[in-house]
Amino acid sequence: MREITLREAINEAMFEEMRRDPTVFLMGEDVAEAGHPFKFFAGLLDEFGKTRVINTPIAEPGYMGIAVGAAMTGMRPVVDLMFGDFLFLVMDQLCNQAAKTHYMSGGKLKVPLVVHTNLGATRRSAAQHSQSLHALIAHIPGIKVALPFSAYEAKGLLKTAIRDDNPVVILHDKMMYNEKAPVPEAEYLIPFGQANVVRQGRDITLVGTSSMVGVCKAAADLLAADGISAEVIDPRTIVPLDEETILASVRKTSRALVVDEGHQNYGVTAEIAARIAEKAFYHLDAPVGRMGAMDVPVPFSPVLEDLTVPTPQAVAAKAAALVRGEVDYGA
Amino acid sequence: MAHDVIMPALGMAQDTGLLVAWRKAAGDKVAVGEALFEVETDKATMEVEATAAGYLSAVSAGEGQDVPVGQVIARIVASEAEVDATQQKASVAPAPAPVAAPQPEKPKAVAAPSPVVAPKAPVSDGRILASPKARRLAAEQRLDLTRLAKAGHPQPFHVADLERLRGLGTSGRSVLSARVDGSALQALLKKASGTDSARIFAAFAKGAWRQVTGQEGPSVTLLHADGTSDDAGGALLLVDLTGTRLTSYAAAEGLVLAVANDATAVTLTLTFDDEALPFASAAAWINELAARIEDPIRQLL
Repeated sequence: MREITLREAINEAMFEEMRRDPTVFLMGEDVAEAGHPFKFFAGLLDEFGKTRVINTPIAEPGYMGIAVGAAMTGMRPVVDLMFGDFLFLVMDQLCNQAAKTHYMSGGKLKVPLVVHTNLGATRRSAAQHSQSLHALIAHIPGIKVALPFSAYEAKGLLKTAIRDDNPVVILHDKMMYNEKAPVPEAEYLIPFGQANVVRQGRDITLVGTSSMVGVCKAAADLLAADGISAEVIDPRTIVPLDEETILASVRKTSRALVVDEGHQNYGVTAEIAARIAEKAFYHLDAPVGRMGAMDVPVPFSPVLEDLTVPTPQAVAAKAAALVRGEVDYGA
Repeated sequence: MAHDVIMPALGMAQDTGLLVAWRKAAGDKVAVGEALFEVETDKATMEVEATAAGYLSAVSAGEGQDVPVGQVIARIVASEAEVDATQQKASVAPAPAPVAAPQPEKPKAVAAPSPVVAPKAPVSDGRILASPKARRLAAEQRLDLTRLAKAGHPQPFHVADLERLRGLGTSGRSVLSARVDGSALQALLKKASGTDSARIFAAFAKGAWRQVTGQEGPSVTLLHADGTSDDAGGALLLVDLTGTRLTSYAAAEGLVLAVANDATAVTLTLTFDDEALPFASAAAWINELAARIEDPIRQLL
């Protein structure tokens, strides 16, 4: 199968969906002539013109509000936030308006809005352009949250997001845009709420989101060299979350380590770990481990920044400790 | 001190930059802010200025070459003497490995592994620490985790430790019985009608224990033949079979004393772990308890 970059996968998904459905349009900063600073919207303006590929001023709350209104009145907007950190600017439009309109209108209105943005540190972009804020959105009922790992997932999940009648926030790790993966030429969709078992294993379940799937895969390689067999699960969407695949895996392996690049405090790792502890308690042979980003603003110093995110080595070390029972049990 | 000249990242999605032209040649004197070379990206063409003063040296990228972002393409050295003697305009080498790239890629640098905590000694309050799964499997397979704890196996216990527990073999269990004249007890129970007979046996058992060992007797849980229990969680399970046709009860685990009677006699049956209760102590205790049932006044002495 041909391999394309994640950036190209986004581009293909946009072309396919905008050709398929004339109500789909794109708006955001620098998305038109520039094709976005990360280049994944290149060529859209030429084919679809300025009415469907709309450059906005640097005014996130304004254009997010426009998009919510457009979605309520029959359009399918895709709004790009250049950095996931700008989610803070659009919290009211997204969480108070988009997330609640279907419910508060008694089902009369739908908000088929896609917010396309990113997460992830280690791009040397400092504390205001390096955050992974998906947990904030996932906390609010009424919004779906997709976290693609590969080019394959990026395309299939973005197309599903555009066709979903609910608000969807889709976040890519900004360090993955150049990573290649096999992507079929034929059209496909990836359903929400279906996790991917990336690798089968026996001794511990590693649940990773977004780029942390890659970190978990690399950790599983390190563990295999140590005689420990790790299963790696990529939930693909955290809202909805495919709990059953995760629980079935933990029932098999008896141990779990959850890895996500959001801050560890009150984060995605906490939610998934709690569900495992609640629903697979009598199958656990070790405490559920979790690793998030360190609870500090992301440092600009590369040396310090690299210390704040989980690495394959750190994940493997923690997983090995859980498998060997070398954990603090609070006695 | 020499400074590296690198191909800068001018756009967010830029992997390489096209070196259009050098504005300085190797050996030229360079001042801070002077244009060094011209780069074309997919957005624009721009000049890159020197960030250090000195002499341009070790030029390794040629005009028209597409250079990875972050790659060192020249150096600025402090004096003319330090300029690379072999440096010629024509001596452009193939691109060396990138050094000190400003955009290192994942996987990210090694973080310190989380500290490993060695298993600790068992806690002293008698609670056993075991994983939920180990506890569940032990219960399902009727394995007694306390035996593993007594054997000094480090806690918390995990599923793998259950193998070790199975390896300990079946524990030694013993049964001691006594049969005594029940007429005096019969008379006592008649006078104390309305009192739970099991409570009287429990009091006798504790009294006998105190007499034999000089220590306070074990806490007691009462169980009647109809299955009702006070569920007191005591160390001794006292099973009252009096008033039924049952004669004895031997349990698979724990310290269990069954009391049964018929028209003439009372039967005592004690089942116990050999490890937990030495035979001599058990024998002395049940003998004293039998004596008290035969002659209840001993309970007062």
